[in-house]
Amino acid sequence: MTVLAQIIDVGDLLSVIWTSLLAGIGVCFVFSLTIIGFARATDMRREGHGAAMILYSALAVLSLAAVLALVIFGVVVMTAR
Amino acid sequence: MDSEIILVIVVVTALAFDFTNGFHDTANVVATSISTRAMPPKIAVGYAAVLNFFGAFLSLEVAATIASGIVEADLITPMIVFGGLIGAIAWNLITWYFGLPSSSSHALIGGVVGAAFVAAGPDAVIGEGLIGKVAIPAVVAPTLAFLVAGIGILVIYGMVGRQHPGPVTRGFRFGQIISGGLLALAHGTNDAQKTMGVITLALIAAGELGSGAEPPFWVIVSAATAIALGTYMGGWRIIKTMGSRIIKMDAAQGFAAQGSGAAVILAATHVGFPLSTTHTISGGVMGAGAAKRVSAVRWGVAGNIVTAWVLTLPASAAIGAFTYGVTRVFGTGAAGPVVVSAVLVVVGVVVFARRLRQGSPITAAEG
Repeated sequence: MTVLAQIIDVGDLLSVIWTSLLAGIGVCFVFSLTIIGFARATDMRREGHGAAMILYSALAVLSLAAVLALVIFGVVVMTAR
Repeated sequence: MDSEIILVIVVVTALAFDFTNGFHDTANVVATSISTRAMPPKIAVGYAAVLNFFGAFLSLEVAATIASGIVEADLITPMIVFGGLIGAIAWNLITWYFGLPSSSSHALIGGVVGAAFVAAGPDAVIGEGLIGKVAIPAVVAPTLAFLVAGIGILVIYGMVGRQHPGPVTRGFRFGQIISGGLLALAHGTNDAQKTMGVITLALIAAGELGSGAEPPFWVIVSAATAIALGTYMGGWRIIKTMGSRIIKMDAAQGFAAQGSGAAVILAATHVGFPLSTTHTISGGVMGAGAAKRVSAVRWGVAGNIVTAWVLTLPASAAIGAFTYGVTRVFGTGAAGPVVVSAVLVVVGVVVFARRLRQGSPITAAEG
């Protein structure tokens, strides 16, 4: 471990690992919510459940906004190097 | 006069490397989108090329110049840089010939290491830098992306598994347009800067720019244009390997591979940890496939790819060293680089023509 610490910054490495896990799995989770939201909203509209349709549409829009926020954050990371 | 000719040759060779970098690495950005039909092939490479071009302008942090911390900076000369560029271009063409994705950055580092080793001896190479900036990241990048994409696709399947497949597929195809765009921007930002760094270094060494100068605007525009043109030309053989020969992927797997790849690359960029885009995306593709079913991954193809990664540094170093040796046979003037460039152009044209006639790429052990 000491030898490794002399060659690379172990703190940076651990930071890359946890950030990647959080962001990568997070984006899969949030975008899945978007898809579920849109798919279920369509089903609810077809079945005439107005309130449920609005709730699922809100879920879809909010989660899509979260994905787009992650993308914008990614661009900021690139420009802020 | 000789130094001016050498400078022009180094600049042109750097732009040629940049072109092969875009050509070779198009697959990282578009392969999954094409194979899942998120975008038609020509639209996908056009989209990636445009974002590569604009990505090159996003950041101009060229302080991390070529092989920094791996080769003693004081010893780098335009001739060493030329040898390194030839080593990297040659390795990019060899791996393209066999349809194998490999790191253009590691090829460039390998080429410079080989040329510097021959020029100045073993003291020119910083062993710890080689391990910390090349070897360890080469293990971390694909492993981490494999893990993230693997968990990511399990999360996706767990959440959308009960939905109608039509909307789910359309949704993830749309998602791939977003994640692929982010990857293309990141690729343009990271890789075009290597060429800007090489050209700026050569201009400083030739006395055309002062020490520590920023890259001139024409350098930024030409590097952005070269990588975008290379991307638009599309390294179709590697795209085929990445998109359909490792795994047959669905749109959700494509999104998981790209989204996870983008997350890993941006996390590494954020803390300045040097990871290869190629290693990351390849690991993501394998992870997204293996999590669904281990046997879904064609491990023979994956093995060929890993072999190419292992060979990248020593092979490009050997070519870089050989190139430097050949140029020195002609003395310290411009004759050596002129002869080597002419030979490379002829060999490149012959290999390209032969490859086009042969058709399908050779990626043995597909089954």
